Amino acid sequence: MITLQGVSKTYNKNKTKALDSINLTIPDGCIFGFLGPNGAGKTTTIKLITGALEADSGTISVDGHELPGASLAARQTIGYVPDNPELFSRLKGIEFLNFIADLYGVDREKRQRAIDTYTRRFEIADVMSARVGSYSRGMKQKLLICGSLLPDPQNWILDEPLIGLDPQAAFSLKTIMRERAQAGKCVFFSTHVMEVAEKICDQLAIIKKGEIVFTGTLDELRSIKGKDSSLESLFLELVENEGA
Amino acid sequence: MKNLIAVLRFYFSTFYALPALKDSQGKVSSKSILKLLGIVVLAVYFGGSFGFLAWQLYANLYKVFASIGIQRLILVYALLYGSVYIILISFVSSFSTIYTNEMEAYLSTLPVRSSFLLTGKAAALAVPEFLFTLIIMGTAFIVYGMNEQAAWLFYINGVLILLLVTLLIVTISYCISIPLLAMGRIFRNRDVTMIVMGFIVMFGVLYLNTSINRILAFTEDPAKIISMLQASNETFLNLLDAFPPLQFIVKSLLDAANPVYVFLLFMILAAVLFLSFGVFTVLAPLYQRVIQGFSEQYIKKMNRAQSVSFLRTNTGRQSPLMALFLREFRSMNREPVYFLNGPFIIILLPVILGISLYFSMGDQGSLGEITTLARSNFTPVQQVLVSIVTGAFLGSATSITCTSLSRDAKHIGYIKTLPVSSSLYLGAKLIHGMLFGLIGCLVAAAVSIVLFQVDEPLVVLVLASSFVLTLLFNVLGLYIDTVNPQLRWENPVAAMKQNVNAVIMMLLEMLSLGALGFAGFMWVKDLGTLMLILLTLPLVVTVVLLLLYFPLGIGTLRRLEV
Repeated sequence: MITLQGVSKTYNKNKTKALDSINLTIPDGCIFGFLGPNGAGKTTTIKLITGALEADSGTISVDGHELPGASLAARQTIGYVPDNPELFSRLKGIEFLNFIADLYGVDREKRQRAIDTYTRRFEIADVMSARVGSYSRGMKQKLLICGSLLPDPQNWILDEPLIGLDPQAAFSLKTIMRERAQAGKCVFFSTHVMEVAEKICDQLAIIKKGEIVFTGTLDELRSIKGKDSSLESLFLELVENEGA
Repeated sequence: MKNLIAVLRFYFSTFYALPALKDSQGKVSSKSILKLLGIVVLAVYFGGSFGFLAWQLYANLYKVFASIGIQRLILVYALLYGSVYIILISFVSSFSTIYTNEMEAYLSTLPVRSSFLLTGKAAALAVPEFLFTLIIMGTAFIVYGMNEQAAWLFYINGVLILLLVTLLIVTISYCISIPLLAMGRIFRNRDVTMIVMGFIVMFGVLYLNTSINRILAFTEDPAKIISMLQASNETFLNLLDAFPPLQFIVKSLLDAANPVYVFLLFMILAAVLFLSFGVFTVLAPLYQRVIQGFSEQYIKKMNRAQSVSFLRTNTGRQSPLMALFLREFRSMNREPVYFLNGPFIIILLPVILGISLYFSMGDQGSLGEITTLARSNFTPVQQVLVSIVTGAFLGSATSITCTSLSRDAKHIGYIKTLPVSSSLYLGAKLIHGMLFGLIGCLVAAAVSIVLFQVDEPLVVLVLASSFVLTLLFNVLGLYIDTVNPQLRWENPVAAMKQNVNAVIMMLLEMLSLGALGFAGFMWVKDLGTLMLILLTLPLVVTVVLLLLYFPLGIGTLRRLEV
């Protein structure tokens, strides 16, 4: 479980407020979607949880490990897929996966099984000997997804994971997300694709200009708004009117 | 025309990435002034160093030539010899910058004539080419003009000739590189072009080094030059009958007082300018084809049986430190820009030093004679000192640690999310630097054995001391790149070649080792003092710096926002 309490973050020496005292609880055993317009603070929130950034104030806890103090222990429980797949282009696919597995301390047998399973599921097993730099954007995204799953993390955090994926890979990703949630693990992802969020999310949070404007299930959102509309229209109504 | 100006502005700003006087808020800050001043000082320093070298070369030549009344030969020499280098530099630059990154392909999709794109790129390239021409050729004109008290029109003609040569050579370079890239699929790959160009530059540098040393050796024996020149009995300009353009240029310099030549040179320059644009217009479609087909990737796919076997044999466990080291090692040494400008120095520098040594000791000298000379010219303490300083310089000249965080740049954010302590991440970078550092120290130890034939215990001292100094400089490099990493770049060149941290480190190494070497030669007479200055003290400083570095590095990484 991941919790954020009163978390704020500013950039440019306190000139740009990215997050303003947000509170969020991401429980285990569910798929939690994080929605918001561009620049709302989704990636900043994810980077704070994964340890890429440090919050100015507030507390972040990952499975009871508080950041930044217990950052290393918290990171050990997280599998992370960043929004930009341009990573380590000079490494071969297999070298990248071994690198990730080494840092998480995944033993040889477990990593062999996981690499075989996930690279086949995302159909990139045949290009493992090639350099990451020669991969297409979608292949790089698939590699990052495979890497994030190698340690079988309790908390799976994905930043815009569907961008660049072909329909088959997107389907595999959604299936794995559901499998993990059913296994009691925490799945937290940001997306712009409302149809996907509507179909697979058990819970949602909507962020706008650094503030959480809604947390709950889709049904709860519908009941608050008093409409039986699609998530897309509810989302647009929320981000356009709320706080305007 | 507006488009052409926009393209020119774009290429100048992206090629040189010079710091602007005004910051993002449009204000002139003390920081931006300081940055700009720093760049100006560095440019003056490098330009001055090369200019001084060229000045010495031509002044030496002039002295010898003038003593037998053939000083006009210096103009022919500069024009011919200089042209070879400018052609080499220009070809390498044009060939390797036709495709710099994905931005080139994007630019070719914009509603801008491709002839404008090519002209903009050529103009951006022509600026440093002109500076090279000024140093390589212009210095000879100045040396000749000053000594001969030439008319002021001589200098005007000189500038026009330099512009003409630059423009012609840049245009010719594109005339060769674009068709070559269009024909040869193998060249349309950034790695291949970098490697090919790297080797051409290396051989060019070696040739330059060899020929300069030969010339400097010649000056000791003017009779040799006289005899060479006496072989030709033609009058000076008649010698150039076979090269009418060269003959005209030399004539315009020797007869500079005649204003007709200024007019003619102006006219030729205008015609060449017009012609160059015409050439770029003709080459533009081919250029566009090269850009669009550049860096096409081909992925070799394995069949199921192969991939099963591959995954089984290539899946193994390493310690986190080893995993970080291997990532660092592979990321740097598989990138030609990084490797050729970094670790490869360890191979290149000893070869250049060896050639310099060979020629400076006399071009007839055998290895035995050279070692005898080396042993007789230096005291045993000085022999050890020279070996240590050489090892320390080689070991720390790779720019591995002083660009280590800059090279990672956008990856740092991701690395921070992985469950590994920052000290291991930074430690892996230091180990990488020291691995190549050790190779440099071993080269120095070999030099001490082969050249000075020092005793075995002293070889150990050379190895230990150069290793400690190498460690010291690599730790300093880490400090510099941790405090001031260059994290915003689109092209690896910016992280390595254009990284101010690498320049600062190189200057620091040269100044410190120069000062240590000087102090050693002047005041150190015994091995005990030498050990104190070059082993014990640096070791203490290094240990202290290392102890302070990791807390600093961890804290800085934690606060770093990428």
